[in-house]
Amino acid sequence: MQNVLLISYFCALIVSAVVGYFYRQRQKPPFSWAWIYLSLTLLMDACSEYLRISGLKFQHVYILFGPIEYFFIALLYLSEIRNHFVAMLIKISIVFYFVICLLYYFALNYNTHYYIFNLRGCLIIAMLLYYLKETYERNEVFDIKSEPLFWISIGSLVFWSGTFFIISFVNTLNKVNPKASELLFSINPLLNIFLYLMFVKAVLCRKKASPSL
Amino acid sequence: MQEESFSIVVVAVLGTVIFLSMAFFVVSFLFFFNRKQAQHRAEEASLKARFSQEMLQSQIETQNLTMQAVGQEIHDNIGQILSVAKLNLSILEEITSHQETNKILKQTCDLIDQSITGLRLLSKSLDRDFVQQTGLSKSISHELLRLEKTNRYKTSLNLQGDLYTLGNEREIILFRIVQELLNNSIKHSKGNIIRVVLSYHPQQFTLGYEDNGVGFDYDTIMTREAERSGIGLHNIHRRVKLIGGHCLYTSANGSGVNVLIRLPVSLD
Repeated sequence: MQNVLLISYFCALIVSAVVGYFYRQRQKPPFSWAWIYLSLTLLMDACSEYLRISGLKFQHVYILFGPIEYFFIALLYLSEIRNHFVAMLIKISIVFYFVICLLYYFALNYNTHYYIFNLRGCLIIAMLLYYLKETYERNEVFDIKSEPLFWISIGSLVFWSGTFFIISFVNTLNKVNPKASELLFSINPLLNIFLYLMFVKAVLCRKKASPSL
Repeated sequence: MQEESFSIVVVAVLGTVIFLSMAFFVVSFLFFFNRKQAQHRAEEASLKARFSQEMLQSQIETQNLTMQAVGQEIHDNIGQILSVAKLNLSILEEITSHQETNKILKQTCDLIDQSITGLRLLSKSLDRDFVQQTGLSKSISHELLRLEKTNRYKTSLNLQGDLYTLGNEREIILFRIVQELLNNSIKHSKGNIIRVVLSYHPQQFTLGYEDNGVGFDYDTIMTREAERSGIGLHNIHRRVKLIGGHCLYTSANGSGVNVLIRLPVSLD
């Protein structure tokens, strides 16, 4: 079961990267660069999976990839968020997150990547909530279903809130029933699959028409 | 052990609450977003309608001013020149003793007289002040008389109910609509009978117009947007809408045209 989910996850990632590449013309940058981000994610996940199976330490791959992922996601929100102050905060957060990851990697003797993973999740959730607020307040008629970032935001919201829940539940359950906790953690790829399917949906969105008024 | 079971339950409950609230958040976001978008769309539509009404109003205003200027020019300039020409011919008629020449001069004087009368009528029909001063029914009657003088058309105006005024703007717009309909009949109908009925009911004013011409296929004309034909009909519809009325066309190829314009009236 675990393997089936893992393979499905990799398939979803490959499909999203391939679709992102072939439909890159439909979107403006940075959305047209999604295939690069998805390909890097695929590469990183393949490496970490290989290291994990080989019994080697794989957390550093996640830690080093963290700033790249956050940079790309932040770039997506930067291209859509219109408030200059919030845009500046996002730019600062990119630097901040990069520094935190470097410190974590070099200065701390880490056993887990969950702290910086959760920090990234919190930052992304904050960004997407602000984006949804700004989208709601826009005084124009537009089709939200043709907004790529809307789908990415929905995917991210489900993925990160689901991941927070699973991580906390797994950690608690681990003390009582490690097997059950391992089984529970195996559903995590489902969240990843949902996230990358949302990326596919975002990439397939039609280019935006200019506002009518 | 019991403490750990409790914390599992707490995490499970919390997780479920988070998931449910997330789902609730997404659904309510979409609900409120769609509601706001519907409001925006309604606002945009009303803005567009107002804009097109204002455009039409200024278009009518410009048209009226142009017509008035042309009417004045005909009356003051061309009319005067023709009067002077007629005067000269009369002088010439008096000083000429040749009978044949006198006959031709008299005919020419009559022709100029006819032209002056025709131009005066035309100048009146172009002048919006004339509609304001004489009222809708008299202006239409005057317009029909002008058509009748060509000896090609038989016209009739039927007035029903006690006459009341619809207000300057509405009457001028209705008069221009009748002019447009007459113009269509002259240009396209190939008929020779035109009937206009004005019904002054307490709650509603109705203007009926019909000719016995070849008629037209209403749907075909109205959907021919790319070409110029049908623009007159579109304009009539827009003008009727502008004054809060409703317009109904009944026509088919070979069966003439029947137009019914209804206006709600508040006599308060």
